[in-house]
Amino acid sequence: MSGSFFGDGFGQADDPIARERAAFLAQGTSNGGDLDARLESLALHDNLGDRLEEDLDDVNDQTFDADVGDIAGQEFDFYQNTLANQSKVPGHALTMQFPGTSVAPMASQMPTETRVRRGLTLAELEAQMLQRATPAPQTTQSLLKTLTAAPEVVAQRKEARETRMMELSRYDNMMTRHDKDYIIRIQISQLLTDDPAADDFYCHMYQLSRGVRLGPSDTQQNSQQQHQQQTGQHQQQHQQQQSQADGQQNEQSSEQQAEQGEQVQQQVQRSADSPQTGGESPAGVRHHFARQHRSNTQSSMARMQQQVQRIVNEARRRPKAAHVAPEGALGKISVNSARNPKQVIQVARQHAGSVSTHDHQHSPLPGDLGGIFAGLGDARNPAIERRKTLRSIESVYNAVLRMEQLMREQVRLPANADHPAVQAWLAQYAAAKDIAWNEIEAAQPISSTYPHALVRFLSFAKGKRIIPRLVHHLSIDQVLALTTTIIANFESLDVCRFATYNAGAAAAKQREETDLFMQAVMPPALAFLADTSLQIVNGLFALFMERNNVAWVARTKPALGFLSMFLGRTEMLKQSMQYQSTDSSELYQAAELYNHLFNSLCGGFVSIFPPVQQQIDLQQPAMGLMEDVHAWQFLATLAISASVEQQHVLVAEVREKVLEKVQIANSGRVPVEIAAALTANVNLFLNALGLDASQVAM
Amino acid sequence: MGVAANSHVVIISINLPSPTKSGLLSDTPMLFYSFFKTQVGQQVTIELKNDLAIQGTLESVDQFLNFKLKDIKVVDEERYPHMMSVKNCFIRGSVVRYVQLSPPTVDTALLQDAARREAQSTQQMQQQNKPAVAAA
Repeated sequence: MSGSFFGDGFGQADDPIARERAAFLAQGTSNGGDLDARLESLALHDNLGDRLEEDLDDVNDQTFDADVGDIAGQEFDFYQNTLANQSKVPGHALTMQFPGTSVAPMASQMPTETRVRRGLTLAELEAQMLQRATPAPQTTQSLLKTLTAAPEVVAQRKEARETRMMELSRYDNMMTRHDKDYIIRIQISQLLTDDPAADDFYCHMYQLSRGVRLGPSDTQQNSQQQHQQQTGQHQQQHQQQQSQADGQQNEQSSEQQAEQGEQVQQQVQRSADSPQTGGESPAGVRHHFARQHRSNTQSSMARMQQQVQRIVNEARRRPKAAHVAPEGALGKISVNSARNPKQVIQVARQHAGSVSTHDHQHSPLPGDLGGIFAGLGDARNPAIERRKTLRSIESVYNAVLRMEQLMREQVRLPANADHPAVQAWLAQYAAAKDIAWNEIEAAQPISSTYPHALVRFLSFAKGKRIIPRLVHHLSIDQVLALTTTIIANFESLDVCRFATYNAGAAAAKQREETDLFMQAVMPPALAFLADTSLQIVNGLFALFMERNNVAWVARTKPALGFLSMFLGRTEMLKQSMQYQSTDSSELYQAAELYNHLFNSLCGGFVSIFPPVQQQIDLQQPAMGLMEDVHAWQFLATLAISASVEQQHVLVAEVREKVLEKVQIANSGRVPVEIAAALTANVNLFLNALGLDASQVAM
Repeated sequence: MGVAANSHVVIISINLPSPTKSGLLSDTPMLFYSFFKTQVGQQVTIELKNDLAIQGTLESVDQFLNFKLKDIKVVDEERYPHMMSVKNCFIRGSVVRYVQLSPPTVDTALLQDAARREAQSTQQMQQQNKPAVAAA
């Protein structure tokens, strides 16, 4: 170890490290003894001989004889307690000869009685306190010692600190500006992407939807860069979240274009504010809470930006391929990058082709048989039918996504309507809408295939979910057509086919689907109904009753919803029409429809209610008892438009139910809120009749 | 890509697409990166391929899906005592087996949309490349 690895005597080296090493070695030999022995003595002996008192030996106090419980969760800063540092404390190491240190002459004169553990500077104190929530007992002790120290001690500490800082920054500025730029360029070129908006879609939209916005004070502290992190520079480990900076800058840099190149530019700007030196000293790291130096950084920022711009343009010009097949080579070489990672599972990509050939194979067959089976669609093969439906759902999703993307881009279009870009946009938008519209086949409410394409579409949860998003883009006529189709095929909807309400996993799923239907599909239809004329309402009402077996369908929630809406809308229109010249034929038709409805439901009103669970789960009585809100609402709307005899009939039929509910509410077996809710439900119906639950004689 | 939600754990299984024929870069990996960027600051539990499970606050993530965790706690303390004093850690992406998240922080509808977009763009690239490959 006394010579360099490649042999001695290369003459004077030209880089600072080698120079220093040579100087150190020269120094070492002159002080006697070779390096091994010196290091050994340093490690094994503290050069204090017998002079170290027992109570002054506190290097191991924190850990000696401690339990796991004592140690766990604490942070130990062994740097401070190493012998090398303790040698700087007055009272220690009177004869210590650590190469390179200049032992302060005053230290040797300081008596041991005022031995103080090496104190903490203010900045280090801050750092420590911020790192630990609960300070260990030693910290408070040293805190007190620091704060009540004598001035000579303070001066000595300052001097010691300065020498240490000087040593540590001796090797700064090893890399030239050119080196650093080179490396940064390489790292940035890995990051860049062709289409940043598409790549970062999830993050961007998520933050938009959650309304994440941070103020400028936070962004100034973010100095971490993506590419710096890739090199895993641990010195910046305890700095702020880089990715949030990433995301915020995404937001702030440009709403229009989430260009990652620009993003990196912004980050580059911010990191240029922080100390850029590659060999960042721990002292520099500890000062990161102080304001970053901005003095020389304006020019470096500009340089950085130019670089990034240059790289972005280059990358755009020459897209990198994932496989490289050089001339004369016998195969392809895969270039693995972050975007093209090594595949753990190789999947043969033929699905896109195979399903379409599958379709082509099967569709000629019905035709071959002379169209006999044309009406059955693919009912013979439910697997294929299911897959076809799923594919059509996916194509609707794609179309809706394209439309939404186009809507986002609409802001950037020029205002001039004749501009070709605007025309192109309109064409794309219309094309996407047509695709979606054709898939759901709402234009033909009554189709030859059973079940109707729309019904099949809605039999999947994701089909139900896409409907409201699609409706957002449709015209009023299209929404009318959609509603008509739903009503015309109401019976065959899956939510209407759920016959039983019994408990169990299947019923839970049924309830989920029904709820989803009510949440997703019904609102657009109901909203549409709420705004239309009586004629349309009558027409749809008539269609509903004509095409569906009302008595059977009325047991389902969606049907009750529709019926309530029909009746309610009719009633509202009737009342508003009293002040206008009315077309009496419409009113007449409405009355007819009402009577028809009543008659078909007559005798079956009780069956509207879901069957009561035999054991009412007292922990969750609300579930079982609240299921009939829809039924009560429907009965209420029915009662509003009823004539007197009809009301009598109604009351006669449901009196049992009413009595039962009121009884439960008043019996005290259920908590107060539930009882109140029950009473409210029943009152929905009774108030429509002019009665109230409290009038019910027990 | 499959997403399954449990009562308090969401586990995502990675199913990367096969390389495109002509070899242009697809960017489904960036979807995961984008997703984890939204998870920064959340409590996650990362299970590694060596069965070590680390719970902590996600501090940052990069394009290789390396994770930096803050204030970590090993899930099974007794088997891995060597991590007791460690507060922060850097986990290389290639050793991660699972990342356990909390469901409220994930917008599954948006995630599905993002995945569909990726699939769309990959399909488009494939279609563009097929005639090119045929021609070449």
